Amino acid sequence: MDSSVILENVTFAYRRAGRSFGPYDIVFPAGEVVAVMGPSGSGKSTLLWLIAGLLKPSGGVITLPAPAEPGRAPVAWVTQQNNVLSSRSVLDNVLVATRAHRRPTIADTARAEQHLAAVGLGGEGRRRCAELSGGERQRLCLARAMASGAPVLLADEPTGQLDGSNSRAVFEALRSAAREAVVVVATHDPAIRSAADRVLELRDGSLVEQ
Amino acid sequence: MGRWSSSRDVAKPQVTHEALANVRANVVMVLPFLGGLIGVLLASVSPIVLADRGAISDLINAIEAGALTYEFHPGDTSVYPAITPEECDAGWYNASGIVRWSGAASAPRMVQPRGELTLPVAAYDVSAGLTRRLGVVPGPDEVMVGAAYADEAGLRTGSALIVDGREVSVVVVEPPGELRAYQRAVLVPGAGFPAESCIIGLEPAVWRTADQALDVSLPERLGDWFRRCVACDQLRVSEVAHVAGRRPDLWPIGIVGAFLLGVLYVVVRRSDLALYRLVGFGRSGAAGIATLEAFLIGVWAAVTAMFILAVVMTTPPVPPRDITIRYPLLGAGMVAAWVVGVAFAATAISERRVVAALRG
Repeated sequence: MDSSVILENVTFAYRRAGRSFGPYDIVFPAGEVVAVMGPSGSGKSTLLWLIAGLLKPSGGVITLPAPAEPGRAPVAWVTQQNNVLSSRSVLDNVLVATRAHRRPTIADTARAEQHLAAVGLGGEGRRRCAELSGGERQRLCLARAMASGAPVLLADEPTGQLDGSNSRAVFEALRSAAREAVVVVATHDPAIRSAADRVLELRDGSLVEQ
Repeated sequence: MGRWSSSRDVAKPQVTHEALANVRANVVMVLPFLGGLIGVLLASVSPIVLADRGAISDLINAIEAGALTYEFHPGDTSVYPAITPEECDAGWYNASGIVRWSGAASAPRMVQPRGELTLPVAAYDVSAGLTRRLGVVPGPDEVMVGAAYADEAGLRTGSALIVDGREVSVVVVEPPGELRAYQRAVLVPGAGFPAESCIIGLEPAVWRTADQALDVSLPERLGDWFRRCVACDQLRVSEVAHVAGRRPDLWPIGIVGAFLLGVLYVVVRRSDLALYRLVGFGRSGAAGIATLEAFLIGVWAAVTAMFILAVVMTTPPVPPRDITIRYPLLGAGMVAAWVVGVAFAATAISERRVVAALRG
């Protein structure tokens, strides 16, 4: 099976708001960081929710690559709100993606610690997430996404609330994640635009530039 | 309709681990819900407990005033199998309204003749109600002797008797009306009121005229109910407490309250539950975590509430077991409503609400 994410003639509509998106015919290949740009309300996040299966397309077909390990979720997320389980430890937050399908092994724990180190949180596994700064939480989300082993990594404004150094750290982590997964980033950040392998421009729900 | 296609084998999400870890780590979030649930449990069950205790207190007062019969009947075990002969034999009974007392409850006590007393005699434990009916206030070392027997045996007020190996002083009494059967008996004042699993004998001739015969009046709620229940001549204490308790029936409100509290729990936890959906637990997995958390909190609340109620219930009057069983059942119903509320709300979180929760 192809390791790309393929959207074929995909459309979506928020019926109550009377807004429609698409049609999208896009292929997101593995190994690339694809930036989805556009003004607020242009459909960047909606495109990501569609790929994740959190919104069901009104028409067309979205095909995702199969996870390498049976039972794994096909999609991992990094959101702008840096969602974490605040009362739990940093390591618990990374392993929660594994717990979605099985009991973590010692190897999983070791890998989780490697991913934490890769985002600059090495040795912080026992800290409670409530003690982390916004930038640290965002990097933790990234470590969780990378540790999930999902073949698709979606990031919605991952650097929206970060300063320059944290943004660079997050992007470098995304870049390293792209070695093993399709990475799609919805962003306003011009730094990501210039560093991404490919840029998709959306306006009023339509793809205007690939 | 479009299609979203991905292959994913059946997963085994670690729902139990996550629920336990969340409850352990999230005490600050758990405590308000724990307190709220305990509040709902106590607010719903306590009025019933207090009403039952109030009704039993009224009943005891009525019996001790001599207005009602309080009997232990071995023969009643056919009607009320829960009452054992042992309970009956150990029972203390009020003879003031005894109309149907049976042998075992009133087994004669041992009275040793002394001095001029040579005739055999039966001695009975009797209640404060009976002594009140006789118009006597016996001292701690006094027993009452029916006038006919005292006359036959040559006893006078102040004579000595040995009852159960103890020397006591005689007070001669003239039993009135329905107590004439005690003209030839020794009556030993008793104490205490083991109110569990007892039979109340209802004799209208006694309780209807209690105010005239005894200068006492029945509590209004008991009197009202007895008037409606003249066909009942024997009842368990628990039945009287259940009917005359006039408890405010708040438990349906408690059930609804517990359910809504469960929905609120999911509203507060929506961000974490959305995260579980995001990382792959799916709708049922995330709902399972919330439901298990709710179950743990519910058990915790129920145990705490039961402890509080148990402390209240260890002080007399202790309600009979056959009505106290309702308290944990109602509590379990409310805990179940809380868990169902959480499960319902957590399952009802749509994908769009997940998106909304994740966007903050």
